[in-house]
Amino acid sequence: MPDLIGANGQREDFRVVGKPNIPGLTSYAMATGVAKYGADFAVPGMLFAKILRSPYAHARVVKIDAADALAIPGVTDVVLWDDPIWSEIEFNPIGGRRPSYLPSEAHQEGAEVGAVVVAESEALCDEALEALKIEWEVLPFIIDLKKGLSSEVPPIRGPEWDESGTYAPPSVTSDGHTWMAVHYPDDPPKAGNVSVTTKSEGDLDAGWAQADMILEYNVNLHDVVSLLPNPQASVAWWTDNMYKPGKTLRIEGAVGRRGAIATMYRLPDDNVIQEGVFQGGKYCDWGLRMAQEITPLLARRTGRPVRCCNTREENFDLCVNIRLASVKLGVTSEGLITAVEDDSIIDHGTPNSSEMTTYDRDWNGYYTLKCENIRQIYSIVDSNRGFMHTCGQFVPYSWDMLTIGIYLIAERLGRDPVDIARLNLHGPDSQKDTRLVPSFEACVEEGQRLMNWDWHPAGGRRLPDGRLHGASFRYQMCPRHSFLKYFTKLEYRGGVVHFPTQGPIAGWFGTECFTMIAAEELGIDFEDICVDYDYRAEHTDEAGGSDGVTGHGWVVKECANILKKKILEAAAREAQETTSRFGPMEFPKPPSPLTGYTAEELDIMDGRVFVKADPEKFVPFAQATAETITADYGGHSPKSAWATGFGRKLDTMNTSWCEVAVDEETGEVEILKYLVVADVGKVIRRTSLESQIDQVVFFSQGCQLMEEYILDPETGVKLNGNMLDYRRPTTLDVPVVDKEILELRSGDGAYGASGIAHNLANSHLIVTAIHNAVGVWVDPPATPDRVLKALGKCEREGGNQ
Amino acid sequence: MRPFNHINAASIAEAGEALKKGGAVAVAGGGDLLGALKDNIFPEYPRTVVNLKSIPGLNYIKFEDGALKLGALTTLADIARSPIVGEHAPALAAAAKSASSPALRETTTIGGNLCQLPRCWYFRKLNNRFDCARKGGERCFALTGDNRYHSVFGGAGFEAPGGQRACVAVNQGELAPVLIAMAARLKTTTREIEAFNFFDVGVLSSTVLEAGELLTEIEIPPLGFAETCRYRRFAFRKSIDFPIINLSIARGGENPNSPGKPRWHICIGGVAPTPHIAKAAEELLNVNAPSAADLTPELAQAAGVAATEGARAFESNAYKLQLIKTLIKRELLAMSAPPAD
Repeated sequence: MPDLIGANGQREDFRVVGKPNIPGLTSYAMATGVAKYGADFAVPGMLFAKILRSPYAHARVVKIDAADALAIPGVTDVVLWDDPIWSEIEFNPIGGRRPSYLPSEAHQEGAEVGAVVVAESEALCDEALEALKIEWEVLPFIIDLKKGLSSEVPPIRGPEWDESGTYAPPSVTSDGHTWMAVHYPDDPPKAGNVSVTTKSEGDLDAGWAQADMILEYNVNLHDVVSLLPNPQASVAWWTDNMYKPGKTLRIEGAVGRRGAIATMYRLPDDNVIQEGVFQGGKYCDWGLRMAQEITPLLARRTGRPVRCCNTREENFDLCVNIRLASVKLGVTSEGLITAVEDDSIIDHGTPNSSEMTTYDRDWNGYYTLKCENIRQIYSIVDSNRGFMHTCGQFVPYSWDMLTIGIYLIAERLGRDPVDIARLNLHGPDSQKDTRLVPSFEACVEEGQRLMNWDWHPAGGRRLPDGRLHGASFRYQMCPRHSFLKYFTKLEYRGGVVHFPTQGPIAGWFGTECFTMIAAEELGIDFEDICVDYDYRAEHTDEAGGSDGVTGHGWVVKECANILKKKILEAAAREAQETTSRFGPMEFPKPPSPLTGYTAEELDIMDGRVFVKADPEKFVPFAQATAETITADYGGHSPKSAWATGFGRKLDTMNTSWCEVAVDEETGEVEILKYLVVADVGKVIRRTSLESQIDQVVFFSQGCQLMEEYILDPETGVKLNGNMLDYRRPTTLDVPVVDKEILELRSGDGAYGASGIAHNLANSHLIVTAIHNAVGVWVDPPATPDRVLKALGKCEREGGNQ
Repeated sequence: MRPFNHINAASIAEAGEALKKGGAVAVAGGGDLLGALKDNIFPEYPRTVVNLKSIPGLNYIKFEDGALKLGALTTLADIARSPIVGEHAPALAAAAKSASSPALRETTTIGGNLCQLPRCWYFRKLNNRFDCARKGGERCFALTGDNRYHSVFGGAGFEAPGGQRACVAVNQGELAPVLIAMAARLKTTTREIEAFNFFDVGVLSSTVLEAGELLTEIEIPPLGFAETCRYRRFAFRKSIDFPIINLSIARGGENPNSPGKPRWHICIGGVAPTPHIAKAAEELLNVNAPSAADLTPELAQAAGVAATEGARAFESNAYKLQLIKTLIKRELLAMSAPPAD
């Protein structure tokens, strides 16, 4: 899609975009403590609310006697699940439906259920919760997915929890690929706790027939938690609206776009005030929690501000579900894949958990292969393991089924996995395209050079200190979501360009990137743009994914060019004026250096509006015009290759490389080197890009080496729901990630940028390197105990050699 | 956290009296107690918290008559950076430095580290979710539950209201193995105890301290153990983590098998309800390695194996036996190596 106005792929000289060390606006606020998160808000006279949490993995509240709780001085209210008040609010548009807003049935330990208490302090809330006399009906639960597959296990969910009504119908892309289909028409009806869905393309029988060998392997993904560092919280109160009828809701503690809250409370957006911008670093997760949603309701009921804040443990929601994949590949003697069958057991989690299959099946590494014979069979099991809010971070976790397949083919044939990947990767345009992918080739060339890549078969290299050496490689696409219609408004006012934005309300931080793009196009400095955080602004850092910044950036670029054109027109117009007026009086104006020139003959650069043909003729940008000039632009950015092909088109690619050392006697794994070579199209703000890479790699390292979500097998209760026992790595535990960023300008975001998003996150790069070291598979997390067990070094009796 | 009465004790006597009353708990650095209070893990929420740090004269490090003496309120950070400890008991400094996080080491104390409650996740689950044996409940949930971090040397039996109980939670204190290996003696308000005899298992207790009895001083006597002691820690994370296994090996005192030679001490933490003395390994070394120069790779390996004697691991924590073998072997080999130039 060509630019409407601004330069995209054509721009070669960048003054602002890509410049390192541009100071962060939001990061400054976070680093200095100025930023306020949900838990930071406090209002005089506020009450506190706490939600009852289930101590059981699956249970129903039969009856609650709240008399003792209400008798505690300072406890002002106990709202039970069957109180009519819950019908006063709508369900959040993002989050799915339940039988009632506050359910009486809990589907995981720690689930919000049955009652909310309101009191003068959090301690009193705790006391009130403990004083509730609750009659529980403890119900059977499933935390072992393989057991849950059995038809003999009774359904753990009644018909009132049926989510099928919320399923979107299958969508078909412009190039004819079905996607976002939770279930296909030919799928069998759900049986017991299991839904089976199959996506099949090509001719599997022909694929098997072409193969010289069949490779079968298992890839097990465990569940890990999202663990937002700042607990979800809000404080809400109602005020009279000075200018129009009706109450205004004031809610603080970033709750994403306020539209969701407005919808829930049936209010126009303008009647919701929300100044809180910061939600803290997080990894996807688009939903709100009850603590963020119910405070307005309780404030209305009590007539006082109400605060509700989750604890750390209450924050332990899943961000990756279990997937147990059994993969079968047909492979020729040259290493070409001819058929793929992926039979996966997948955790559906608790009701309304994010549906793993939606993207996972439609966008994964299989479609980057020349092989078109692909069948994916997903058995999705209801469980009581945990809740995963609407998110998409499981997408990268569908990729390493292929990473491992390529590695295993290389192992079998005694060849370098990079060569196997290249052999199987289709060309830029389609699966039938046999050309090399330039972005992949560039990444591989740099990666091999920087790693001193010297492939060896499993168990083939020992380091001087006696540990075994292993290495691994993976590739993926750099996608850009570009889901949304983006809006941007820029205003030249009082000689300054203002950029109103809601800011990082959804936990994504792109303000600096957008500001840099606007400055680039306007010909002014980054510092010359005044960012106005305003909850009423249309613009938000939310861009349908952090990589969506590059698509949204394209819209900002267009908007900046509209503003620039208007400023030049105004400057040219004013330059022709010979007098200025005050009431009936007119005063002569000194001639402007721009007098006599049209807008087309002017340009802006380095803070000056100047005559292109004679740059010495200029006025300062701040004095370009006395007018207030506004530019609005809303639209879809160009459709990315990702959104049209889901792997069948390949533009910007990335590669990751890892080297490990494994101590066979202790099971310890040390990452010796972790390199990312990514073609991001064009770097917008290097600091943001590198931070994004650091985050996903840190996440991946934690998942593969330490993090594990542990449930008690007898009760289904979380055992490590805290920062100490969950063991996210510290910075001492993982190395600094080496990064080599390429700019092939082949993306279709601003300036040919693409994005990074989740796509360097992975589930098995380190695990594959461990296999390359020791020759056995260790299911993640590869903690020393698991490594030792895989190596057969776990004698249970003492005193033995 | 719920409201509670807070007493800044001005003296040991005042603290002792306050703690004898029901519903009172002691706090020093708060590294153990504050988390427990926040998570509401006790069967009954404490009514009174007695602050010991307000007691003067219990925060010191001194070297007197060849003995290293530390007040019970000495912080781990002070121990880690003390030149006196560094000179006379470097392994103790290393152990203190490896505990917890830099910030917490500034507040947490040696006394608190020795007296901490077990890290078992059933015991620590918030809102007293599991009424386990260590809280006076009927059973140890880890026996049949997820016990990957629990004892490989069986459970500890103890008397509780209602009868005999057992628990397989381990002692994961950072300093206990090193103090036991150095033959430290602990002074309380009523007695003096060998460090090894200080640890016990009971309801809401990990020590032999009785109600109102306070640990006041830790003394490392001049028996030679402190100078030779080595400390080795194995944790999944390099910081902010409790050790899966930590162990200390030292030589000092009198070897019963080789008069005139020092005897071996080996103590392992994280593997049993109380710090575990590897007696078979000690005996093997006392007989076969009167001096560190006698250590051979084969002997080091055999000592590692001997250190696991008597162990019966669960399926999920058998890895600990491999770790014991390896870590002891490696520490012994390091002791046998000639000092670097």
